[in-house]
Amino acid sequence: MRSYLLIAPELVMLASALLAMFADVLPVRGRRVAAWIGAAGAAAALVIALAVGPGSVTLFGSMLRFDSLAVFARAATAGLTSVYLLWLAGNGASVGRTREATTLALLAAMGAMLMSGARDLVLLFLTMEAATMPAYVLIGFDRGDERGLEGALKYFLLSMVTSLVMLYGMAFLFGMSGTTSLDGLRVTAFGSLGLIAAVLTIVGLLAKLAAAPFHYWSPDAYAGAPAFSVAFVSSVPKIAGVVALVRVVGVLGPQVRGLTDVMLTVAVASMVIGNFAAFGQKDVRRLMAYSGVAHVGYLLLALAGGTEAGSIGAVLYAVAYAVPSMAIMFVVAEEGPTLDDMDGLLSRRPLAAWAMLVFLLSLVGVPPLAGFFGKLYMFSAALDAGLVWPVVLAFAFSAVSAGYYFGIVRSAFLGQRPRAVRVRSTRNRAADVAIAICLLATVLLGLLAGPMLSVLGYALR
Amino acid sequence: MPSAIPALPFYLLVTAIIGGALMTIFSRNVVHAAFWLLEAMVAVSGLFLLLSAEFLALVQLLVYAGAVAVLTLFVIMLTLRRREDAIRPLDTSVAAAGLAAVFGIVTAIAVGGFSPLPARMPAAAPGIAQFGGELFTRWALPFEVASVVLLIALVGAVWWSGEDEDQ
Amino acid sequence: MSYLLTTIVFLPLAAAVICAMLPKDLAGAAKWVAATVMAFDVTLVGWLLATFDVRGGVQAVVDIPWVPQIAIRYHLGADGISLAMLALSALLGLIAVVASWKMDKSPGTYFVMLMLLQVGMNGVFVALDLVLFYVFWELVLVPMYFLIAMWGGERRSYASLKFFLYTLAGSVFMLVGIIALYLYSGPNNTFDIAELVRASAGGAFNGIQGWLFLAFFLGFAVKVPIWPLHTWLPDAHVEAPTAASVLLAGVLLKMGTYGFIRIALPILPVAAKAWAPWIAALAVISIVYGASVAFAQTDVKKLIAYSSVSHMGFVMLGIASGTAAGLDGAVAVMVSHGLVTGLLFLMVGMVYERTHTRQIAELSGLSSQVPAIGGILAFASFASLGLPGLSGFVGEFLSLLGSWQSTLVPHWMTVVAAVGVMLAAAYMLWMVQRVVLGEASEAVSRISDITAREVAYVLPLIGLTVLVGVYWNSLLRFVDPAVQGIVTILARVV
Repeated sequence: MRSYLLIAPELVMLASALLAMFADVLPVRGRRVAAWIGAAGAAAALVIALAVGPGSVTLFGSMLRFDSLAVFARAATAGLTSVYLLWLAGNGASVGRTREATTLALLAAMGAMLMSGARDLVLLFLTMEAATMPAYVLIGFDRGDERGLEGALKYFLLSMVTSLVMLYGMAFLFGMSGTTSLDGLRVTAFGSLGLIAAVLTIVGLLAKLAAAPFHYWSPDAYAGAPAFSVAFVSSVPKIAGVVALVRVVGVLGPQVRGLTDVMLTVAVASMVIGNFAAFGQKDVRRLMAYSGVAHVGYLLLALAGGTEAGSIGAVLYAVAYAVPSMAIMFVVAEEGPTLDDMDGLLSRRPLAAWAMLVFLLSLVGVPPLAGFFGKLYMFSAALDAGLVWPVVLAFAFSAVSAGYYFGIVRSAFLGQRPRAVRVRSTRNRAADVAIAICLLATVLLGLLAGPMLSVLGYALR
Repeated sequence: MPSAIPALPFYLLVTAIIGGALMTIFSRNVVHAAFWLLEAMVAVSGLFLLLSAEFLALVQLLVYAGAVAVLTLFVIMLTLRRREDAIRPLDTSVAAAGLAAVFGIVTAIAVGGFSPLPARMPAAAPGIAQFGGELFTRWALPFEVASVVLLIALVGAVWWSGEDEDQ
Repeated sequence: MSYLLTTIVFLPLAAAVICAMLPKDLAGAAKWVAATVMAFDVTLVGWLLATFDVRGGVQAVVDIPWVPQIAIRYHLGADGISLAMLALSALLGLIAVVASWKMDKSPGTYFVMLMLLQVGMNGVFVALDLVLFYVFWELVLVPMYFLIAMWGGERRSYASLKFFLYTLAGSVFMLVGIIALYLYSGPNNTFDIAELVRASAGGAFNGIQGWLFLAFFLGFAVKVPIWPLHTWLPDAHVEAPTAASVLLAGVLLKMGTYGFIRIALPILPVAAKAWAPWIAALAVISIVYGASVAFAQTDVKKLIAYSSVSHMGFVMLGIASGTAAGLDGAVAVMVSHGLVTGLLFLMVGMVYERTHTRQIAELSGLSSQVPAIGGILAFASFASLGLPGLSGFVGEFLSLLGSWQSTLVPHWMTVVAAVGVMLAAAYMLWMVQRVVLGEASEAVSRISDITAREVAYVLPLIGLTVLVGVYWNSLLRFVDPAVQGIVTILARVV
């Protein structure tokens, strides 16, 4: 029974998802009720997750363990979902039906939260599916839009194939160690077969994170999807994905020679491909998709170092990446997806423009924002692990990335457009509050990193 | 319960599975492909039988052979208007085939690198009661998560196939 | 524990916040907020100058743990060099505000940017923790980008982005260097500059000093800028509004040279010495190249921009020499260049405001039509070319003296650099002859002379230029003790 108490945050998420799904039969009517319920539920889950705190007990046999890293990811996922649904509540009408969107987001977040604590391959796989499956629907949320459906189908097929590859690898792992418990995996005796199994297993995770060369789905899927879906899909589930990768690599990395080299190769490839492909993109969603590939590259670099500090840095960075990228998509959803739509944002909505600037700067890694400190912790760890040249490359690419991110800044601040004729009165205060929360988080996550680091046990030496 | 799996039935079944899978891919008629899929799934249930996992074999037959493959056939039946539509162009990707071949060779070498594990079969095959006990105690959480995954799939399916009441 | 420096650094942030929150119809009040706060800031710096113990040492220290897990500290403090640069930064900041008095294109945002820029500039010169230093260093980029991009000239979009990307690209390498210093700093890893200097003396960075120096060199050299990394500078200067040009030339360029003096030299003395001839060579190229290209300019602002490249070459030459005279000279050039080039840009700004042209060909006879403006422009040009008795001479003389004394810099380089002084005299005088003297051109013929407000903000610069030029010790008594410390460190290594 105690086990169920300790997964109370997830149960709250599930309950609010069900409640949101049947929001129409509630006494309170309205388009946005579902989103409000969801936002409140996710906020409650966040509070409970923090109140429960970390523990060293393994729940449900050897299925789950919420150590401090998992609690951090769990809380961040719940918190971000809450902010997302708050925004959705404020933007209800422009989204279409908020009921399904809310339900799906909550279920995905629930899966992601469990995933960050998963200690068993079976649970890991199932929670991963729970976290990604709503994304297929969200990507194709505009049922009338062929491009959206095409993107969703592409995402679905690629994601399924990589999931199956992952399952295949897990079968090998199970065969070699005789258990599906992560802590019980023993593959050292099997030589290169261990490496093959490990690589197959992480392929699924890498594909979900859109790391090169498994990133092909993301630009098409994002560009075809409504921006409000991208806001969620491109950010929230990635946190748990990184945590899962940390777990798997943490167990297999020391046992399998060469796994870190594979990670390093993927990391460098992602940085190179993501950063170069992001140049010249006119669609902000596509741009963010490619830049997302690059950011995953940075994350993997930290993981490739194979140190504890690197793992913690990577998870921190996943959050530091998720917050601004979600918020940018909020603005994109409100203003329109292309760079031209951003023109003259400053004169139309100055606060949104300045917030956008802060988000983009954080992604570039300009201090004192979250992105900078995330990169500092992450790359320090990688440098400490001896990955000198990849880190230098990563830093250089951070500077390069300013080139395409500033395309957005130029449009928003220097672009001239006669006042928009489009009417968009659907937005209300809640949407602005959501963006403001993201802004605050982007600033404070960096400045107040100290306590967070000590909770997570970050130590370089 | 036998201490090891008899070789001949094993190889027969494996050939049937792999052959069925290959034929599923290479059949130009999608109806044929669906039947080959059915064949492969039935063969898998045979493999379970060989391992004395009768319950699993039954589930495999009921769910995959009974439901999934039949559903596939229904979909084909309902979406194809003319007999000729069932013929599809064979989509060959040399690169993918090459990649798969390389992977197969590498894996084969890796597997051949060490002696096979001593196969030790348990003295008695666990019964259905034990299986159920395990599933709902130790594996309760994954079981529940799996049901959530199905719920998500259901919501998604309803969303995509549903009417747009807002517009 | 003293909060004086914290106040000085973050006071402009308060002004920025107030300006940002001003309602639209009150945006005109932003300049008053900014001016008041900056005046107070300058007063505080004056107080610090007055109470500063000139015998040396780091003073007004504040040191609080910030991110204890990786030993990042909030550590501020000022020695003589810091103080000189801080005073320059605050003074030019105030002047920039007053010089932007007539800014009417979204003034609220403009002053927010100016004040944010001020936070970064002030902070860089007093930060004693490398991460903190980097935070302030990067903080400067964004406001300057917007000052150029939103209030700049024709090609502002291009120039601002070029400025941003160049500097950012340089500084990320510096960040790699900072992290590497931390990792190699021994059992108690630290970002603290003083502790890193001690660790370095203990041999912590032996063997990798060259690489670390390269990382810092890239970061600093872009900012200085040293040839061939200077190409962003003319573009940025020409497009920037007057106040931004003043701060860019007067303060931002010094951040690079300050970084060399504060970080690269004391922490990596071995590499600094090994690299000295090459840096000196680049410095000499900068001097001669900047001066020669300045000759060919038809735009006054661009001419001054290239003269900056040349002057910053003298700073680098002084730094490369590693001698007390050279380093004193380097700091003196930094201060003097801040005062004089600031003055030049202000004068050009005045002329441009009245005539709407900066083309040398279209300007002439300023002295006949507007004698005060013409006179001050001529005065600033003389100061810039290094006329004895004015501040420009002090630094250039000491830099050349130091590099001549130095065993690290070949003599012929000093000789070539000295040629640069003559070139500077030539192009400056030629400019004065064409612009200030002669008959009033059409553009100049109907303009009015300097106003009281303009006098008010150029007067301090003129006064300080003369003061430093006549009484060297007014500056050097602050700077020299700090320089001696660095020279001692350099002398200790072979």
